[in-house]
Amino acid sequence: MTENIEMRKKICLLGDPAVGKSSLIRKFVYNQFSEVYVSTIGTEVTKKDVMIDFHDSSQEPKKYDITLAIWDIIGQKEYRSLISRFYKNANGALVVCDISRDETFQNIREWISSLFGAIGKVPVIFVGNKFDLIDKNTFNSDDLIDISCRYGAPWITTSAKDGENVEIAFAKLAELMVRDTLHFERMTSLIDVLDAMIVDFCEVNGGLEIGMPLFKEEFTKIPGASLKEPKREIVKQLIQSLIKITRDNKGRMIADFQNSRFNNWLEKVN
Amino acid sequence: MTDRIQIKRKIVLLGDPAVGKTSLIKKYVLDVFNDQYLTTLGTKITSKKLTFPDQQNDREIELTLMIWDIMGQKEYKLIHETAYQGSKGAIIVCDLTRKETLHNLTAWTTSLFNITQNIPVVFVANKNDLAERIQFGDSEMLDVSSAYHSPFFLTSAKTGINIEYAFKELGKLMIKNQLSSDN
Repeated sequence: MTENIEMRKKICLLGDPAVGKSSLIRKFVYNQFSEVYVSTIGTEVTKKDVMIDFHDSSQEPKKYDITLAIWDIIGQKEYRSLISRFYKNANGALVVCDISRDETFQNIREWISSLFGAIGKVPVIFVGNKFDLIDKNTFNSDDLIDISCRYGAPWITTSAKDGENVEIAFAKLAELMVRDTLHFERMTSLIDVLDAMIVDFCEVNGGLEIGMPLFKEEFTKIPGASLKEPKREIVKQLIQSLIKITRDNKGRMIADFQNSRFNNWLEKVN
Repeated sequence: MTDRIQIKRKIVLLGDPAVGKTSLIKKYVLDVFNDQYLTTLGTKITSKKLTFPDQQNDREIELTLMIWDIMGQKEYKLIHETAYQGSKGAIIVCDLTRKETLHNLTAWTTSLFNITQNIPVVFVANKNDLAERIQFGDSEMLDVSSAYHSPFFLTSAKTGINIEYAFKELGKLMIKNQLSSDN
């Protein structure tokens, strides 16, 4: 018999005030629900284990025992630098809106770009909460589908009140994080590192459209730089110039997060 | 007076390195062809407007294509996956003078659909001008494209042949797709 693989993952719940972040956590962790709204001050961390069976095409199915540290973050998005700090080392997020209030859906884009802008791309699920409050017959999922296409992340509707899909949302995120971890564990070449670096750099600096020209400019400045056969020395040099741009655009803290990610990846491969 | 509605959609050009993706875009958007081959670094975006009549609703549809040119190096998986996100159509390109680029069309299509689900695609076999070096033709392209119920075109970024048609056909399919999902 094979043993379960244990992992610890930090996840954040993001979204406007009163969309039900704390309620989702309470339902998931304690199976409780209360109608009384208490706004989260600062942040609260709760823990819960989830077990998932995971297999991808190249492997035998394996059992994972994942300890989730669930960070419930203040919904007032004006507390930007506080929020960026909470994101540090997060492995994934549920981005939550209240499906009965359209403005909370509109703000989802801001939340996801604040997350990716701080720590690069991590697995995310879009959650339309309070599904119990709306008429299911007239519910239109087009907007959720659209944003899920745009960010390549799944969406789900939940109700923290009656518990619908709550476990599934957390379990699905856990599965995406396992997939993500395996991807990084399997980094074997400098191309893999460069690939991840470019996407990370672009996400932090506003998406591929904005980030790619910035990357291109730095890359072509380095003599002998090649995408086909990247050399270690050149990747090191590139890290320094990319981090400098991130520092100018996003500040020292976010640049430091990025620097440590890049160097972790580079250490993995020889 | 007929109404005009404007929509903006992202499309991607995919295919092996040096099949001519960048040249096709240049020829289509700017009408220039450059014989020199420069690897596309990462992604590059250009735009082009197309207008279609929508007789059913008595209006015109002005479609702005945001054309994403993605590097052909397959090893950069994350970049590709990220660039595919939000695409509503694709042109998948191979090179008539290199048979292995034909065989890779399916792999490109699969990697795209993994991210975008089924979206309209058009297959393009480029470099039709290099007559003496051509290794395959219509029947091989038909085999690939019919598996996806999609059209194909033989093009030349040098002479410009069929490029307009390929983009226009993709635009048509996208609008059809959009109108049917509206209803």
